[in-house]
Amino acid sequence: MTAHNKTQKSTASRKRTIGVNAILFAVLVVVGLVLVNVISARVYSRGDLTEDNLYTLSASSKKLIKSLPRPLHVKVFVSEKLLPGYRETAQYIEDLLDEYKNASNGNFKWEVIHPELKDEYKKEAERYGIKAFVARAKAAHALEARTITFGIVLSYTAPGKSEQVEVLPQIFPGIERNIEYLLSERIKRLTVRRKKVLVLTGHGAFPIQQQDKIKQFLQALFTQYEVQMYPTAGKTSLPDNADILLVATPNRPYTKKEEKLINDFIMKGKSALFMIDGLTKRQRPMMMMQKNRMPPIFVGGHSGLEDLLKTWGVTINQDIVMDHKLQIFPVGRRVIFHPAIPAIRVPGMRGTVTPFLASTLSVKQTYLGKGKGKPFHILPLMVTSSKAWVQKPPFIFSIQSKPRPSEDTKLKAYLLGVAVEGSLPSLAASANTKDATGTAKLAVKHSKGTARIVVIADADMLWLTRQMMPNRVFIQNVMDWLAQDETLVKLRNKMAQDRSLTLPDSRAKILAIKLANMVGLPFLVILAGFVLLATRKMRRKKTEL
Amino acid sequence: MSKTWTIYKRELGEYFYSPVAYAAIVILLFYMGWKGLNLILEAAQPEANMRPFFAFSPWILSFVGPALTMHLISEEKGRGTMSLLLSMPLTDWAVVLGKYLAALTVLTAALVLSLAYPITIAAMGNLDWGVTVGGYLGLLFMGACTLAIGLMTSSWTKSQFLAFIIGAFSCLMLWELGNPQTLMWLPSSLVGFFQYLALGTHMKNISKGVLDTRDFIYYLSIIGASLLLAVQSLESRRWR
Repeated sequence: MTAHNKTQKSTASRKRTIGVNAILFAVLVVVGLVLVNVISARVYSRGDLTEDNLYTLSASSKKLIKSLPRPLHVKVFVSEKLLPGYRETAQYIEDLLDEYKNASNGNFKWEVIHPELKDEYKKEAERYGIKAFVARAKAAHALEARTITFGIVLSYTAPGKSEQVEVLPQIFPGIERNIEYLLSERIKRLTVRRKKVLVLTGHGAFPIQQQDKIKQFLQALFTQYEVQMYPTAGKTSLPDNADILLVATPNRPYTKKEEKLINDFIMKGKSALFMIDGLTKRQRPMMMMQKNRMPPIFVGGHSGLEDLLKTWGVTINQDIVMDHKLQIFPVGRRVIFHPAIPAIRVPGMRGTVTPFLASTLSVKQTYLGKGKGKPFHILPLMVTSSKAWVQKPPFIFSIQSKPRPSEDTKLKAYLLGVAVEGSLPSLAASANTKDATGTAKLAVKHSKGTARIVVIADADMLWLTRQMMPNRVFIQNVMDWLAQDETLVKLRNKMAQDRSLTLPDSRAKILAIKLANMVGLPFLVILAGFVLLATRKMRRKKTEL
Repeated sequence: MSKTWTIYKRELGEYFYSPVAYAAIVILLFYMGWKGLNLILEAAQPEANMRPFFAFSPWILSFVGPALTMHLISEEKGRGTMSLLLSMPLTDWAVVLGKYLAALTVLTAALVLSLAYPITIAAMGNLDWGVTVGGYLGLLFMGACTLAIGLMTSSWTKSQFLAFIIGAFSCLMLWELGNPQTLMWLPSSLVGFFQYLALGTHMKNISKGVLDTRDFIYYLSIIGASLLLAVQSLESRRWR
């Protein structure tokens, strides 16, 4: 073998070694990266950049789960083979349940059950009311359909009680946005004593013949509370076990005796929600004849609670408020205009009730007057836009065209709802009264501790909670504020965040915005390129010279 | 590091004095503006939400990334200047990293310009800037991946066109892996694996405003592996 051949061979051998080493190194690094990914799938952390921490377990959920006195079991019944979309949702829910578990004191337990694996599992799911349903997802050219089971069961046994169960029977993609609220709301319902809401009846605000339906509706609205319908006629006091009163616009005014009942209730440091406008419906004979097809007329009315509310610094006016932001909104069979009332942030309430609500919708809304309270605070809760005006009753409640203010009308913002908090004075604060035995005694001057009341000059807002999510969230938040339990308020607000776009009125303006962005921006880049090129050429010329 | 900096400066200068960067930026901005803004403004109930924009924008990055990087190594190989460059006292890593960072700067510039869209939307509604920042981070990381893949394919061939085709095809494949329509055809045992491999799956999380270490580790792994393969491809001259 010649020296040349030897050198050639050794070079080839060295090259081979380098090559093998290089390939081995690359393979090792790639394997290392795969391992890092496998480990990171198990050990990971998440941050949430969303403004209202949409995808992070909120502090209130953590607090709720940390205080569980007994084990709470969560079972996720989910098919093994899921369609795309559902799979990601299942993953999200599992991650969230892990977060609940990590935040708990060991009393939160959860498991995944695939019902198709055993008949026993399937029967268990069905026993809880979780049934298989047809899920659909977009495939290449058509909709792919598959029968799946996807539901959640939460069970809890309170001391001295039988097992209580809450069920989310069907889970769909997109539930990620409010799944935390749905879970925490149910956990709270299972584990925390429900406060009692007393709905005052007997004055036509809630017709007797519909009371079962109304109770059902209110119970579905105030899921965290126990709703009780309570006729005030002939009563000398309101039940001690009640926590919050709900008083709506009466058809017949409350008597002085009933006004005192409410006053005494608040003096115990309890709360009340007054949804009272200053109007009364006037029945028209024509209306009766034409089977309710005629729109009703509203005239100024009295609730009988004017003095009481005045004691707390609130007066209710009888003029109907109109706002330039009127919307068409269907009520019953008619389509009419309503003033859309923007709610505002209230710093005094630390924004807990209305932080994200851009607007709530009110019907035949009157407005409030606000005095100055001491030692209590009166905080504005709802106001109109600054372009609102009022219309004197009588008012026919069917607007066929958008109402406009007359030219000489002064436009301004009107107060529609207030929250009052503090040591509230008694209606008969300075008067001597007699008790049942006839003994004279000094009336309680101020409420015990902190009492809270909310006055909204619109009774119908309550009914609009069915169709209007912001109204629902608003009323539920108000109720939680009154109950001094704001655990769910922030979670609820996550769902209600208003992010609607206010587009320009004309199509031409929208087109201009689009063109400025689509064409204008690239054009500027091209222009910058030409400028840079020209500068370079000039510099080159100078150098050549 | 100074060697990487030298290469970086040289490549960045090349970018801005050639039509490549401008063409890529203009195409990217036009597509993002046209598709993304239309989706937001023409929705049945328009919302101040950039998620539709982030759902469609990554797709164009599968083309823009390889387009920006296709010439970086293949052109030098074709012209024969690569041997000259590698004969200088530079490591292969310095060359690859310098070129990669220059391409990344161009892409970042394009993304910064596209901030005009969220600013426009924010002027008309209550935009969640957290989600927007998350979405842009996602776009940046996804773009960084497509650039790394483009650079890798550029190191494999002397033809820029071929480098672009292979790069764009690889990126599209990685993008399509996470597409529900594609996953539908896979056996369910493999779905999770392929879904994890897909560029879009991770982008989807980040564009919601959720920063998950899993997503960033995935993106950094793709970038690391691609750049390593590009370096190995250059080094192969020593053993081929």
